[in-house]
Amino acid sequence: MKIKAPKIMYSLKLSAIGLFKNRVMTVSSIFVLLSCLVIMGTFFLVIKNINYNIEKIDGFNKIVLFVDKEADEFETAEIGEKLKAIKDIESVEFESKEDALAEQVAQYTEAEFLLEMYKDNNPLKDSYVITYKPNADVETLRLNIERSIDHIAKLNVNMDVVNQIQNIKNAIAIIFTWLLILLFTVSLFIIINTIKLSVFSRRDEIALMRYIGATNFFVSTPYLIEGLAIGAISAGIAYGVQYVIYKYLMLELVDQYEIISILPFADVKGIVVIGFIAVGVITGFVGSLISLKKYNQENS
Amino acid sequence: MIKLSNVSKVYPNGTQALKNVTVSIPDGDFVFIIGPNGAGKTTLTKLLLGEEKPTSGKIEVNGYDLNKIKHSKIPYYRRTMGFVFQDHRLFPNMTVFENVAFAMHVIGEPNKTVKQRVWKFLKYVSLDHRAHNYPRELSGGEQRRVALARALVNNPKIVVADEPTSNSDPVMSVEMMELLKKINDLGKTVIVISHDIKMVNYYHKRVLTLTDGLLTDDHKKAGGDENED
Repeated sequence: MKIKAPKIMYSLKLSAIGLFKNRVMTVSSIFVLLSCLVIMGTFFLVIKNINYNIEKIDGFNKIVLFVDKEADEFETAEIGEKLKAIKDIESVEFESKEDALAEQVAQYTEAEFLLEMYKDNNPLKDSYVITYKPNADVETLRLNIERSIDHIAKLNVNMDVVNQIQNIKNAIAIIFTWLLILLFTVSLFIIINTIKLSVFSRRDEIALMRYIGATNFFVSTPYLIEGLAIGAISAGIAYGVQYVIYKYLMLELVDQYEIISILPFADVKGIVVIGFIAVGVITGFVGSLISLKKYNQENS
Repeated sequence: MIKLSNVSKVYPNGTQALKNVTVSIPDGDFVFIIGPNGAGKTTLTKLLLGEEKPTSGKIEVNGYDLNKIKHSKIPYYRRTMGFVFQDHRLFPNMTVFENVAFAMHVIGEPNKTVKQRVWKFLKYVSLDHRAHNYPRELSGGEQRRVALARALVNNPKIVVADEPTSNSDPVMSVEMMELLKKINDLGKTVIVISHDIKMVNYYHKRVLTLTDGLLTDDHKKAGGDENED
């Protein structure tokens, strides 16, 4: 369908008039939608920071692979190369049995004699410290390693901790999804009513438009733009509010506790902007569409 | 060309508004449709506007088969018609100019064309000097002329005027009818729905009489214009 520029301009003008004419409902819709966005945004950022802190726990995202004593130098080096090729592995660090022994001995005073004692009969094994990606499925990764690598003496994976953290992450994701659905529904309901009111206040105009020969698309466009505008304005204001909340509540209040690290706003602003615009605009557009579909069915 | 063949309309509540109406109105004709309240004039208008579909029979207008017309095509069909409502339906918050321009904006005409044509038709109905007034500042007759300008501005083939002289004094009525005659002289089909038998008789045009949904009379130019010419 070819959309003429004058039609768009005229629709924009009608939208602006509609938003102003029903300004009480417009402001209410913006307020409700922006509140929902800020609640969603805050919840999302809290989750993001929990994940960030979990990932920072030392050794959490690490697996230690001990090489059996039958592997020669070449085979041991090959293990490192093979590990790097496995999906979800971020980095691999080799620790020779000599280094391991030296490290252990260094923890005790007056134990240097052990170095001499075990010089030719080191009981420790060569190992690889594998760091995996934050969102990796650890069980699958463990199986992949076992399948791809020979000469594994032992694979140290702290599955209990991994599972516990995974469970917490899943629970948070479920709560977040339901909260998103709930807030989206509330926002949608408010926008549907705003547009319904806007359509109702212009019903004579719409009836005349139809008699003159306006298409359903042309009649609907101003209301769709109204919905989009409500969504976009809400997203814009919500971003500002979110910035203030994050900066003054999270960064200034929570970040003073050394045990907790808070992501800088610059690291999350991209996803906040995209999320707010997407949710705001989709809510506004879908709300208008539902309202108009109902009106068109009843009146065309 | 308007062609109705055995058209009947029964509403869901059982009211039979039109009964086997068959009539043909060629392009450029001037027709009055008369009849008492409840005779079927409004239903006939709704059928012509594509607002209702006939229960049986066939309607063809300006090359569109209104029985088969797709919902999405109705707006384009309606653009071939200009409608003057009995209550004018002018927007009180728009000036005379804006009211007329509205009809062009809704079909997406560019601003330059809108300006040119709106001025042309405001001059045509002698209201160019009132372009920036609001409807409340106009007399009833002037408001009706604005509605006529709005009906004409998109260059329709057919103009339908619903009771164009009701609540008007004789001078205003004649003024309005003369304008409709002028439009008819331009080659457009004009259909006037009226109760005003005196005025209908005065103009000696074709008269369709509806009674209880039946077309009871099709009086073609009795002592009509051609006699006067």
